[in-house]
Amino acid sequence: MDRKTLKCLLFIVVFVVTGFSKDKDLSLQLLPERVNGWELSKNIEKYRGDDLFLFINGGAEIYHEYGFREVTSGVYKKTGYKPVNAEIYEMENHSSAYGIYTFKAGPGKNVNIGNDSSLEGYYLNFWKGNYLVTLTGFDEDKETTDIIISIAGKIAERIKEGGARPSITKLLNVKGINELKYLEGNLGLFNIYNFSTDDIFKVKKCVTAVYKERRFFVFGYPNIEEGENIYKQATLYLSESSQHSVITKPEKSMIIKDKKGNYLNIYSAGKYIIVFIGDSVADGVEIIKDIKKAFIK
Amino acid sequence: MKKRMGRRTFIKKSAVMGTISLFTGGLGRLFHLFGRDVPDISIVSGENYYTNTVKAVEVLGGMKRFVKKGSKVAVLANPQRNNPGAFTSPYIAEAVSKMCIEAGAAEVNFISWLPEKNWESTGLKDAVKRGGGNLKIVNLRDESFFRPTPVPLGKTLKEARIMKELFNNDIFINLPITKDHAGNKFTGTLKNMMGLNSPKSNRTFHKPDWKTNLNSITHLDQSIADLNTILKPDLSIVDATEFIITNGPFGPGKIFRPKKVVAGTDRVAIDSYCCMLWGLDPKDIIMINKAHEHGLGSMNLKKLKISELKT
Repeated sequence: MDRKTLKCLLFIVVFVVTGFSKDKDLSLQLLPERVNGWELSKNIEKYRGDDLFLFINGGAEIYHEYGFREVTSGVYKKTGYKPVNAEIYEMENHSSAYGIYTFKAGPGKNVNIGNDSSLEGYYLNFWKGNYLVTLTGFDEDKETTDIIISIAGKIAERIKEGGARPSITKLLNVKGINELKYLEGNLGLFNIYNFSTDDIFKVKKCVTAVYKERRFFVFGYPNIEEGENIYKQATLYLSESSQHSVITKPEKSMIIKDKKGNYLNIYSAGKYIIVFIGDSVADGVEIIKDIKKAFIK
Repeated sequence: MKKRMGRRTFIKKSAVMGTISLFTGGLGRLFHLFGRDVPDISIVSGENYYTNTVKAVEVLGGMKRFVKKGSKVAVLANPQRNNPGAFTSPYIAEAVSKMCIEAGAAEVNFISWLPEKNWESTGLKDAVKRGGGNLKIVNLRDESFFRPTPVPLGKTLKEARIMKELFNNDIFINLPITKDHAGNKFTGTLKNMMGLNSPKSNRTFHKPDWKTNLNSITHLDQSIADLNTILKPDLSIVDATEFIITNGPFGPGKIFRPKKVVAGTDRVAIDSYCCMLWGLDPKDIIMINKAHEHGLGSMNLKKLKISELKT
């Protein structure tokens, strides 16, 4: 081995070692060691990629569907109080962090931490940059909620990136929308409404929400051609499915009824497919107009 | 042939008997005294989860019906995470262990490949100790602790890798918590069985290419049903006291508190009942349908005898 090769090898070794230790430090730096008398315990857990299954056991799939990188988990303790769990999930990008946040967070109280936050009794979720942060207390006492808000605030301060919501959610500028979730795959969709275990809508970007007490979905595609093709394939699949019966099927729209008596209005709108789930055929007609306005320019 | 009682009639009669039993002690004994079959599912609700567990088993005939004197009992609880409503209640685990000991069990072994820290943080380690049981944990990364086991009836799972420790016992009690699950909407008795299979094998349930495989959701559910064809608990006792109905199985999530303990031997029936507790339809849970197709139990609760009591 000549000197040049040796130098090269040495450089690679140094690069790899410092690279890993730097990465480790970065993750740990997000967890403050002390907050208002609560101390971070020394046993920090960290799982990367597929090893998330070892941490979450079942239920890791949904994180992977959005694009998961690693999780860092620690416990805050104070004598005389129940502990607080802190989990920092690093996702692939801002969209995936926002998506998994919307999947996990329910209709809680916004405590103005990170880009969006939700305090729901004994736990708090927020997202910022590529991160979803979850803090869990073990009761709903004021002391518990105060400390999880404080720890969350400190973590948010340490995340320097901001982060933008996916563009498909920005388009949805309709008043009175609730329970908005951003999905990036069929598993997330399956958890909300089971169109099929097959990925008939080829879900990559989807926003779903409740509007006038009815749920709707908007599936987004890169271009009109792809949107229209997937609409044709999906409606063909549904019209042949034993789980649904076709009520009407004019051009670029279809109304079907599922076995539970829900009426599904499915519209092809250029590079979007809009699906509305109502109790009657008439239900969707008025509401869908409002949704379409936002997406069809 | 005895005529089966309708569900409503049964519930009314068992409620009366439940009241009587408070004074006489032992519903199971009463059932036998009256010469009637025990119910398929026994449900007991109330504030004291320990008492609910004891009563639920009594209604089924008592722990002696399942645990013979001198036998070794394996118990599979769920210590997944210390988030509220994400793990089997320690009170239920303690009650089960004590009942087994009182029934004459030589050993009660809580077996698991989840690490000891999970048992400590959930309070289950202390509960096992209080109940007179043993905690037997195997290294989840060491495949030598798992026995390759063929699954002859498996449609997607052809070979499982079952924790060897299970085979050192005579009796098997499944002790899951029912809760939400982001992968298949629901978890209960059937899903808990993955706790006996090696994590490496479990990963095959979630295909490596699951993100692009259109049938991946069905694949997971079919694999769970397949696994259940080679593992038959002698008794299943489900914690339906306080559990998460969102963000399962790990949590934290919205907690629902029916305060019930559900016991029986028909896994499919128990899971069908439990998912209905929070408004799910068993027909929508693929895993339950697949297990029913395998003939592992009945989804038709109307045809079953169900006893519901309050303590």
